Amino acid sequence: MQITKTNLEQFINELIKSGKPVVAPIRENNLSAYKPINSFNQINLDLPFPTKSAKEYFLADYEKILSYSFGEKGQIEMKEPDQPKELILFGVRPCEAASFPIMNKVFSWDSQDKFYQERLAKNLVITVACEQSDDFCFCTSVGLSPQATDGSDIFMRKTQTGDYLAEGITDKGKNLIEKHKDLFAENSNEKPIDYKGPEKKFDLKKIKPWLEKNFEHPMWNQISLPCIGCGVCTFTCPNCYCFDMVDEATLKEGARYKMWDSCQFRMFTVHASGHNPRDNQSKRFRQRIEHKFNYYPDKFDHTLCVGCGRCIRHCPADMSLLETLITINKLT
Amino acid sequence: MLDKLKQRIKELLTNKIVNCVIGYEQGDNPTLARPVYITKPNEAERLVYNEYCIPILAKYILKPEVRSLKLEAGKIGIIAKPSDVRALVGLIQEKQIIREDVYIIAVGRKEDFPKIYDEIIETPLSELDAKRKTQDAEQLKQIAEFEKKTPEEKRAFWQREFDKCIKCYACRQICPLCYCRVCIADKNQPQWIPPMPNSGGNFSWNMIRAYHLAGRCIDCGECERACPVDIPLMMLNKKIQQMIKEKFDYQAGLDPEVPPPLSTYQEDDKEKFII
Repeated sequence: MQITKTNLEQFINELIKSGKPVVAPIRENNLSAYKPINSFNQINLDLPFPTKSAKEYFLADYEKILSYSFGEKGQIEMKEPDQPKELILFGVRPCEAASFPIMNKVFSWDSQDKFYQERLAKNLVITVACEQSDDFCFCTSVGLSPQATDGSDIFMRKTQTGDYLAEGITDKGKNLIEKHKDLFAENSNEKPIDYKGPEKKFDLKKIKPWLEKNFEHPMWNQISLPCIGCGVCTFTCPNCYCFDMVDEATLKEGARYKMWDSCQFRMFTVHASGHNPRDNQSKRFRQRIEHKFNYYPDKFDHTLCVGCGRCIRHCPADMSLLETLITINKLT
Repeated sequence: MLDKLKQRIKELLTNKIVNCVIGYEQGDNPTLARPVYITKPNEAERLVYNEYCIPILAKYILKPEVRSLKLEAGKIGIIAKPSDVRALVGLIQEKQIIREDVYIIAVGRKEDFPKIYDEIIETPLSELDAKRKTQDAEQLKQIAEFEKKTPEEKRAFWQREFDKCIKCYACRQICPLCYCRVCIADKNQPQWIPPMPNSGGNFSWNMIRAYHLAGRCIDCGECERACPVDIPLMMLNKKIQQMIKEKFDYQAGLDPEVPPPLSTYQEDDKEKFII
């Protein structure tokens, strides 16, 4: 279906009026972020991409997962956490959209994470195909592309004249287009901007076999030396899903929170005995690569990386996942 | 200048005056050079020196991996900007490094450095330092503007800024003076600071970080640069610097012989704060 720029504006504004929060990339000062919007005019689809990925609308940066209080006779009264709201995400990048079903593999494995699953079921993702990339993008190297529709409910491509071609990918997406069909027209002969994405930079097939054999390779020490051990890479990553939990309580009531955690932190693996199996940054850096390109594919048959480049773009010490993978490629 | 620097590093490594030199190389990011460790004379060719040589190298001297590179004899060399040398002064004062273990190759204008370097490669004011000076002036203006706000407005300002915090601790990890082996934010028995990025947790973390650097922050600006969500952390740091200057006539990172005011005791200390 085809939608003009004016109709797209009306479409988004109607969605906002319908009461469901609409989340889209906006620019506040110099910071690009996915935020709930009040009007179409706030949206900014230009580079740079939002610093934090849209992950937080699926895996909240923190949330209350249960709370309790003591009744008058000391009995425990449990309270269910708030239900997540239905959201519409507009202007999500194809790489990020692809990350949602990938992460769902771990959250619907042996233990069912209802917090993630509910959000995945409720949220509606309207992806807009990329027209450009920057120095750090590498989606094409991990099997995706600016035209990849994985994880999208509706996929939009801009045309040469500034209209958009919209494709309903899931029933959820098709229904939404159907509901607003007066704003859409049948496709004319207009062609979408067919951006092929950044040049392929390494051969993904070679990475896992090397990682399996080279846990103790001297490369790890060398390549990880600039790493300062902050959580920028993992927290801006659309696919890093590790979390921690903490209880906060008074004598009368308490709550349990779940929040993002990072394998790059020293505390991540400290045992109660004080022993830390990942006692230096090189081991922690190796873990990030091994998890994404070896352990996750082992378990879930998919790389835990969509090539958005955030971990490189925002690293304060210029650590580069891409360069690491290119180095591994050369070592094979 | 770069040739001279490379040549000098080669000499230092060949003559075994240093075992390792911490400098910069060009990595993936065209606007940010990457810290690098040079241990062999021919590796000195990898070095770069330009306005993108931003990450503070004094931080790297504290890495356990780097300390282990300091073999039986010899020192760790460091290619130092003014902020690196100020950080080293702080680390020497606080007994985190021994002066004799480090060989400081200063690069810049003589007048910008505390006089503790081993040698200097003199250059005109670098673009990076010039940029920093303009930034400094802007931030001082920002602070002056901020001072005019009411307490409620001030609180609202910081609440809004801290709400952006994602608790990635890049500010702490890049800070050359944040070297605690176990940070208060990591202590979880009990959990002193809420670890989640909610308003309470973010406010506690960011204020404690700023307070713990009172009289110690050497004004390198790295916390603010590392912050992925652009929290103006240097506004806090600079305000505290101003207060330390006013109360104790002290500026951190200038002279390793002067004891830092907040970690020393004198009998005639003013006690006006005791009620």
